[in-house]
Amino acid sequence: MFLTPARAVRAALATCASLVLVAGLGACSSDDGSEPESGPESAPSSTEAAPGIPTKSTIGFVKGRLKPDRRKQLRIRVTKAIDQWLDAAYVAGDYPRNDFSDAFKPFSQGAAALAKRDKGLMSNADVGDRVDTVTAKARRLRIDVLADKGKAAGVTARVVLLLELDGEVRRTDRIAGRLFLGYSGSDWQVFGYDVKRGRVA
Amino acid sequence: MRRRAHNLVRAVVLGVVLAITGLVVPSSTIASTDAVLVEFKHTRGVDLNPDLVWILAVGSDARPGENMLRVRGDALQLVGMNTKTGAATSIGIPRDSYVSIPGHGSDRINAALYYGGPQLLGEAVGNLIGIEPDYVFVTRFPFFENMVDDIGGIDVRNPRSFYDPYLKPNGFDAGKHHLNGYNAMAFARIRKSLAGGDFDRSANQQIVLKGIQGTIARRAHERGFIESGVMTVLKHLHTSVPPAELFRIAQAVAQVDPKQITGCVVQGGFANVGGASVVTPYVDQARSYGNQARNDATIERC
Repeated sequence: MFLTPARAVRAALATCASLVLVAGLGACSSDDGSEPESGPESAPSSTEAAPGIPTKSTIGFVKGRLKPDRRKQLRIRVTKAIDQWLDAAYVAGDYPRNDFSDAFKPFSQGAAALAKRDKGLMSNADVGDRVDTVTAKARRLRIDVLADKGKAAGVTARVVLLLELDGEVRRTDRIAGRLFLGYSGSDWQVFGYDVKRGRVA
Repeated sequence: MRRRAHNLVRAVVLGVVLAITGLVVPSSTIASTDAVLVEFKHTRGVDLNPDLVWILAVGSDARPGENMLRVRGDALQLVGMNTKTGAATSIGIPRDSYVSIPGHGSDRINAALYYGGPQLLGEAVGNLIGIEPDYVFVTRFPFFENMVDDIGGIDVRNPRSFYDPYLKPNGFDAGKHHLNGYNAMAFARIRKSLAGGDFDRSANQQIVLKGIQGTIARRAHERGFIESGVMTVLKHLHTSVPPAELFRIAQAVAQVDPKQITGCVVQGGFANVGGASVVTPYVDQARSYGNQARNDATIERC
């Protein structure tokens, strides 16, 4: 099999160039879309800061070689990105609320546009103004990894969020599915998703 | 076989666990609400840049030891994916299509691979259809067979019965089939017993591609399926495209909506050039397919 990479190379160069310009970085640490060798080890686990119950995250299936310390680092950073979405889209904020403009910050621009199209499912936007309280009853995250040459190249994050809504709208929802993440040059970013939302009570 | 048995056992165990959970856990507990769904909505999407990705899929009949980038491609399909809508389309190009090849006069389109590798083949296809591919995949048939076997085979609906005395003496009856790697290869390659010759074969290749996508979409939710698939491809792929990019493409393929897959084959007449039989493609038709599909990867009618 052979693959002509012209567009990918252009994209990588463009990404690198814009990173240098925007972030003032001296050089692109990774030119293959995978996590760099030395990431910020001190990236805080957002599970510490997340309101309500913390996300229980685990590394699941790993295809390819990835050392334990890099697995740990990956888990922390992916959990941070997913927590950012779960909190801004569903759990955190002062309800009733109707501002969900920050819901998709850890998403790529295109994925955020897609998610906004499905905002009733990918956030509480459809019910936020009729809800007084939101309580997370379960937050689970399992992280499957594609690793190449010792570095994570792609992640499938399997999420389960059990959400109790109270107010004019009173029910329990289960949001579950997969989010696909790639390394954006500075952090893990959601570039796609396959998510279901069901009313369970 | 062992993996299949393992999956079966896992499915049975999961089914039993779910059944027991649903029956035994009291309905007032969180555990039970976690397992019983009343109403369900589903959404999905993948962000690729650009939203529309065009991949030229080339089946090479290179023999062992031959450089597959310097032989004639046996199967040519220009596949488009619209990651915004989940639509996909395939434009089949008969391999004997007699076209202009940049820098090499006129020849069969599959000779472009021999003359100038994937880049030139992509240019020749771009000249015919009006859409240049973003990627050109070239694969040998043995790897194609392995890949189909690795994903557990594919399901196809065969519109016509056909056979080949060497590749498939018993042939394929019209109707539904589950194909393993070898049979998928035979389904895509057989030409002689098809009334429409290379045009029907190209249509059969589209049926196989749709079957591959169907299996990938059906199994994408399985843990590690996409990751393992990408790793398999990486092991057999000669490319400088990063694994992260392949991972994105694979996820995009999995998110294509099977109901939104269309496909057409460029038709043509027959001619004799220098003693060789060639297809003279209907260029207006080829351009029409390109024009229809360019912006949304959908062809309304062939």
